[in-house]
Amino acid sequence: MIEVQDLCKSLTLGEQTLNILANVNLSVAAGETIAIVGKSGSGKSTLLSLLAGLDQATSGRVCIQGQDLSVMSEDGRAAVRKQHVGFVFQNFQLLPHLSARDNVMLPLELTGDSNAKAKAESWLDKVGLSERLDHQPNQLSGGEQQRVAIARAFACEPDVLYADEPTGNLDEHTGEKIEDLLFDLNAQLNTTLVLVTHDETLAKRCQRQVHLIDGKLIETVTSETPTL
Amino acid sequence: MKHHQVFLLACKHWYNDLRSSEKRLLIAATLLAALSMSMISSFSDRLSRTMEYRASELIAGDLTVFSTRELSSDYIQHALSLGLSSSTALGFSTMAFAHDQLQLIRVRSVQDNYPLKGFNQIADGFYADEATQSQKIKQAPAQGKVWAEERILQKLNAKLGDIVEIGNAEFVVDKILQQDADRSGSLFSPFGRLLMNYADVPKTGVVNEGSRIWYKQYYTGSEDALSQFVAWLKPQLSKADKLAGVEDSQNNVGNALQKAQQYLSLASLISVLLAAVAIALCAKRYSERHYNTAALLRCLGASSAQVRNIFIYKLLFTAILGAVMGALLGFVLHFALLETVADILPKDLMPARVLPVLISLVCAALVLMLVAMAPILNLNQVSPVRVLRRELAPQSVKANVFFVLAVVIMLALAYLLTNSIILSVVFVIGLAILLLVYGVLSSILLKALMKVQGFLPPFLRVGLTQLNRHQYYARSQVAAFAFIFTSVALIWLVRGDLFEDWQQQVPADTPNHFAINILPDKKADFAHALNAKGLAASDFYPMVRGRLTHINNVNVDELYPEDDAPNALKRELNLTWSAELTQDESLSDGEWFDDTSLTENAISMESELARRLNLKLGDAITFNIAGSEIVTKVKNLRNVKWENFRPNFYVVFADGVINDFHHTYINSFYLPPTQSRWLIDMNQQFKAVTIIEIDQILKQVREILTQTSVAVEAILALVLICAMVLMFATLLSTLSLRKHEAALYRTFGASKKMIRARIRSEYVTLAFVASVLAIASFESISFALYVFIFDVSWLPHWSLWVGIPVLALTSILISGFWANRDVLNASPRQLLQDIS
Repeated sequence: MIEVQDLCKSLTLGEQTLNILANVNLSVAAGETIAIVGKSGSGKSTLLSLLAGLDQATSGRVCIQGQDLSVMSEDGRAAVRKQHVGFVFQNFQLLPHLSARDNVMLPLELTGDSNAKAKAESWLDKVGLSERLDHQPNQLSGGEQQRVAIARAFACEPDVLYADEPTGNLDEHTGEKIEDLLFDLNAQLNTTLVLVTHDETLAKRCQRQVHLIDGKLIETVTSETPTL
Repeated sequence: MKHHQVFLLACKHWYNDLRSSEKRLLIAATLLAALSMSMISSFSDRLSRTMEYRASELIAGDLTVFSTRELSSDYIQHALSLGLSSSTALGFSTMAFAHDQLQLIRVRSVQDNYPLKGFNQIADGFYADEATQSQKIKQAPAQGKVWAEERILQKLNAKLGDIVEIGNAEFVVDKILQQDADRSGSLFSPFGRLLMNYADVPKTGVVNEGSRIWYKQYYTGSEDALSQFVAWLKPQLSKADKLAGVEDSQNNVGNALQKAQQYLSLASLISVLLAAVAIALCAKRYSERHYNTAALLRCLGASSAQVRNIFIYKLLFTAILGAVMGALLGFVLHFALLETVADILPKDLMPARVLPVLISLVCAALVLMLVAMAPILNLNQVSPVRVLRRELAPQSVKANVFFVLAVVIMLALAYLLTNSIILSVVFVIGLAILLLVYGVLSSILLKALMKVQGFLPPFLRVGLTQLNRHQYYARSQVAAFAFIFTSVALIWLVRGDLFEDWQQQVPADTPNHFAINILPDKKADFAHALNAKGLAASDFYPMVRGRLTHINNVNVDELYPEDDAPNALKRELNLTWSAELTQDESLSDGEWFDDTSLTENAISMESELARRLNLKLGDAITFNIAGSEIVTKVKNLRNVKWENFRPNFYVVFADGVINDFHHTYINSFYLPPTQSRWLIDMNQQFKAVTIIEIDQILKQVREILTQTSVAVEAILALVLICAMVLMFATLLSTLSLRKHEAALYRTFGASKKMIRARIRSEYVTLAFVASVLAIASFESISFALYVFIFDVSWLPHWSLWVGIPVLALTSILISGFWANRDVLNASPRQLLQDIS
């Protein structure tokens, strides 16, 4: 599903070159769940942004479903994201002026889905928010906002779901519920999940964990029985 | 995603986003731009059309063509084909006989449909007679009947119903002519005016080959047809033909009208510019607030073109909503504005038109689209990575094309409002330079103040530190405020000067009577009679009739072989002499008369006539006075206020040069209308003296000036409202920054009182810096205007040195605290939630 070859990302600050990612190689199979684990500043978010085609690598290749993102324009990568990718963010990234329903409808509308409203309502029902369809983000709790974000991420039934610290802004109890929901829906749809976290417990719920230290992928751990 | 789906998505986002403060401000700014334009343009359109109409009543039509040669009938044919109405008049001077008396009169023969505009004012008796009824009628004398000015009848010892002979024909004096609908022509002619029917002219037999006759055609009709007609007519006119519209009339009403129109136009332009600056500030903030939305849309797979289109559609909807609401509201409010001044407005106000509303709507929408386009296009540049790293801001797009287009639309708007390319270019370029200078100066001023902050009071020091922390915002705020206060001060200044100018033109005791033909030996008695009555009178000016015949020894007939000679050369001029310059006159070139003036036959020429005749100092001018040639030398050029209703002269001789010629005196005085019976005594006591009443003209001039003054006041108020909106937009542009700071301060334990004190000190400093800049630029501009354009002496406007800071301080503090009420009242948690 995802193939990464010799991926490098560096930034030039004045005369200095800062290597954020160095020669990352990774292969993720369809339906696999993988956690990218690392400390703050280790390059996790940068790797995620490159895997999702949000940013361009300095060198190397990222392929999703056989499509090489590194040779595509930004609009080309956007088209791949629209077709294959879903996102869940730490800070939810809901549009404040839209209702829960409209937020979930957004990716469906971008794909031109004529059944967007019904699908959005169905997904909100699945995440337990059928009573909060018309509520705006500021009228929802943090946990509820992340549920809306999860509904939005799955609404298009993407091949790959990227989750960036999905419980990072939530208390432990709510976080656990959100994790359950995320993994349940992922299992139901057999979506490939790439999860970025510094939380080892959350990472262990994935089939595979990739450790990033100073921009280098130094270890790969495979959980024989991921914690579900 | 198809284009219509992008459109629908934009609709939904726009609708859901209506509650955001930035969008509301954008709508409000656009609404205000459209409102002020629509209200001002609808109001001034109706008022100026009415004023033009009223002024057109003074020339008995919308347009006249005058000539000393017979006018082509093609003109009338073409006018009729365009749907215009026309009327023809023919004028001549001749003798009238009655009761063995002989009197030279000026005859205007008019067709039955005369006047096309305005009224003839006639009476059925002499004005001093209490039973006399006067009426305004839109009618010409019937055939065989004439309407004559009272002074003709007095000289002829005639009364109403008597027969007067004019040439070979006899006419019944039907009415007293109090006011001819066509007021053009010399007011100060010693000969009375008589109106007769055009069809009666042939039987008088006075119009022959070589007679001194003038022809006039009057036209009226729709504005479109008139402008089409003028475009067609201009190339057809011979040199002898003079085309005149209302604006061309060089009377005081025309001048006041022109100045008022320019003022209204500039004021409405300033209000639009204030709104445009507000839009620019709001759009920047609006754009910044939507970086996350743009990033999310990109992250979810929207192409850059789709993101761009979504935001452009949203902007377009905002433009349409704001512009439509504003234009309609402005249209409705113009009725309210008219209602408030209804007492002094004419009852027959011209109807409202859709055009000014439409123009306002389109212009306001265009202003928003062009001014806000650059920040909106920035959204297209937002990287999708921003969903993960919020600190990523887009690179600013190079939006020179939109800046240029915005300048072009401003120029077009300025031209539309001022009808002057030079004025428009000067105004818009000047403004762009001004804003640039403000930006640079505010930066310099803030830096300079930081260097001397040790000497400043503590509250200014705190404010200064605050402002320096956010230099970009501080600079733009100072520049915006300085612009606001300079604009308001300039509008105020021009308004004051206009009012003063008008008041000087027609003060309450403006002479309403002219006395001419006062013989030298009766001068003292006449003055005594005026004094005894306690009347305010002008000086007595000697008057000698003479014709200008040669310029530098060349006959004027050779200089102007055709009939295109200025009027001053075609007739006898009223010449005078004086040892001193009168109070309303000023020298534009040369020196006033001195000891040598008498020997060199020095004269003083009116500067405008000198310009038309290409005269310069030292030129030799020959006059024929009572058959004698007298060669004079131009000693100086004079500016004359023709509109002051006092005796004015093209040519003033040095004292002693023409004193021995036969002369009479002219004088003007103010007689309260209630005391008009006194004139009968005067007529009996001074039989040779002719007294001309100009009350009616003065009344009309005053009415028009009063209406104009009210319009000016109303528009000043509107400019102030626009300025307040801009001020509010400016303050809101830093609101999120302030919220962020306040949230942190409050979280760290700062009291509301402390935050209020910080905001206050910042605003006081802002008001202080902006006031310094505003006063400096206002005085520089007023200096340039006074010295280089109006050519008058300049003095600092001390009252505004106090007025501007007071206005700045109160308005910034009031609107600032109102804009920041959330910052002050919300809990730290709410603030933190807001900024996240």
